Amino acid sequence: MTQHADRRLEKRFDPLLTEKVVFAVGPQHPSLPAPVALNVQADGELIERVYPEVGYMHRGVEHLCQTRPLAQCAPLLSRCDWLSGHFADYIYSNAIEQLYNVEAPERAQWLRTLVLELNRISSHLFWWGQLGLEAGAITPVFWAMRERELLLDLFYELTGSRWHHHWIIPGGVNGEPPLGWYGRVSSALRQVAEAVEHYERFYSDNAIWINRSELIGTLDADFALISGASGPVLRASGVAHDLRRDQPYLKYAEVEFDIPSGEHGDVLDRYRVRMEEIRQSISIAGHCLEELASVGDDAQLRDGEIPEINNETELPKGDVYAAVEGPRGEMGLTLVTNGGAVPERVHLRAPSLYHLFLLDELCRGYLLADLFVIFGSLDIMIGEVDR
Amino acid sequence: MLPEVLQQLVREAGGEPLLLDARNQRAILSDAGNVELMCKKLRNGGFTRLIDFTARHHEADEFEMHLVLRHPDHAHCGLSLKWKWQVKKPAGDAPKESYNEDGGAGQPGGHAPRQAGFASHPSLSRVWPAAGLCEREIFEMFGIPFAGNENLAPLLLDERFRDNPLRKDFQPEKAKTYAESLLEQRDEDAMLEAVGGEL
Repeated sequence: MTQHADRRLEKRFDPLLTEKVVFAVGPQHPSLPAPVALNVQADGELIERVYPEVGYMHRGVEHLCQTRPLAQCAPLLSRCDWLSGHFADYIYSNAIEQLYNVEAPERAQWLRTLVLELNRISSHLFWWGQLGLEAGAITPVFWAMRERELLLDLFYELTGSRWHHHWIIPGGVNGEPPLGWYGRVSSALRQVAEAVEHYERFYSDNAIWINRSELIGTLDADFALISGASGPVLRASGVAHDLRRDQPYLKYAEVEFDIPSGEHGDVLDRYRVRMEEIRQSISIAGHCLEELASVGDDAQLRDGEIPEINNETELPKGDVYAAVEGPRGEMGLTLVTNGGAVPERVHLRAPSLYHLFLLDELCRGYLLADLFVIFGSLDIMIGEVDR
Repeated sequence: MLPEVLQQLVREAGGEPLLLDARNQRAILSDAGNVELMCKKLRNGGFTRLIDFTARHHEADEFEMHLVLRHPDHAHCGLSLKWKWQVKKPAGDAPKESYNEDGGAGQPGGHAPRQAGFASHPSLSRVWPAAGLCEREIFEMFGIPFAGNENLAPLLLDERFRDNPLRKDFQPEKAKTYAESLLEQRDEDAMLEAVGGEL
């Protein structure tokens, strides 16, 4: 327990005699996005401890990946975090490219950067709608889904799939965008940018939202750093770490963008950081569209530079760690191969796992009604926690 | 690439830096016996962020541990460390230890004790608290216990399932038998309930 949490409990101590209760929220609950049990210990309405119990969606993805050719692992990995499938496709492809010591062609890198940012926006929109539900407002989810649908339609045009794409493949991307697609991306981005301003007008001065989020679920920067937090959760606590700037991959080094960060690490800061990230992603995507108008033709490495990864492909021996700044934080893939088609070890670093177990610290001393707002502000994907 | 000062730090901690690419510096710890001390040196030297900690079953009782760290002041490069670890079986009929501490005092929904009987790996959760979760997963998936980690309760698997699925000698048939036994138990419970608790 940190001193911060102690002070909170002391400050909000209820002098009335209340009985401590222990109860489980979930694993099936209307406010939970997927099966997870939150075992809560409360003193009256004040939360004392929260113990997440996970595993209800465990599918043995890592075991499955280690018992079949690597070519069959991509669909398994992208189904761990189904809201940001392109990111899983990227770390899978990047890990294989590291094994072969090759880089995707420049055009493929710009296309990948563009698609990852579109995916980040669509994931953040889903989060925003869901956060509204957690706070008791039903309208935002309809607005968010409306704008998100624009992006899913673009993904469908590009990859033939709305969620599980497999368009980013080892050595490049699986095909050029269809005719007129870039124009439709520009149009969708303009609509999303206008919508985000509309969302902000709805939320920013809303007294109910400010009261529900300001200084609620605060996370100290030091505690966030040692607890494995990453992504918007870490940045909201004032630590401006972002892999896109710290360890630039793809074309992020050639794009100018800001890394938004917060001050208190509360629900409001996490909200503001993600909303600003949507704006930054729109700006990055716009830059990518400009570059793609003039960059070379090849979007895939040629035969001989990297083989087609199929069930018979024998992978070079090695171990690599591929990481990407996902919408929820650092998503990483440890891949160990021993010269055969079946990998020795596949391990997915899921940011949501670390964030879920922050709940005990974040909720301590707050009201039971704050539990779901705090949970929603973390943008947890149970699919990647359970794997 | 990892700045020279950090490469020196890795050497002092007992590791041998191996440059692979501009972003990810790799190092191998040759003397894993002092792994906790080496990790403390790295943390005190500024590697305060643990990104990932996992294991790989090599063969028989041999494992390879993989650790990914970041230095906040040199965030442009990560450090991946790996070392071998041998899990020694106890001699003779040594009593089995329980590594589950029921999740700490007063934890609601605590799990049943889970047993293991091998020599322990020192817990890195005392160096980086984030390692605690990773160690829970490594323990249940590989069976490597961590001395000093107070909570090694199962994370993803059913608490009654006593096998380690990511070991190479894992037999998937066991999981099937286990699932069938759960279904049988459920049918038996339903029947008992229907007849009022007695057959």
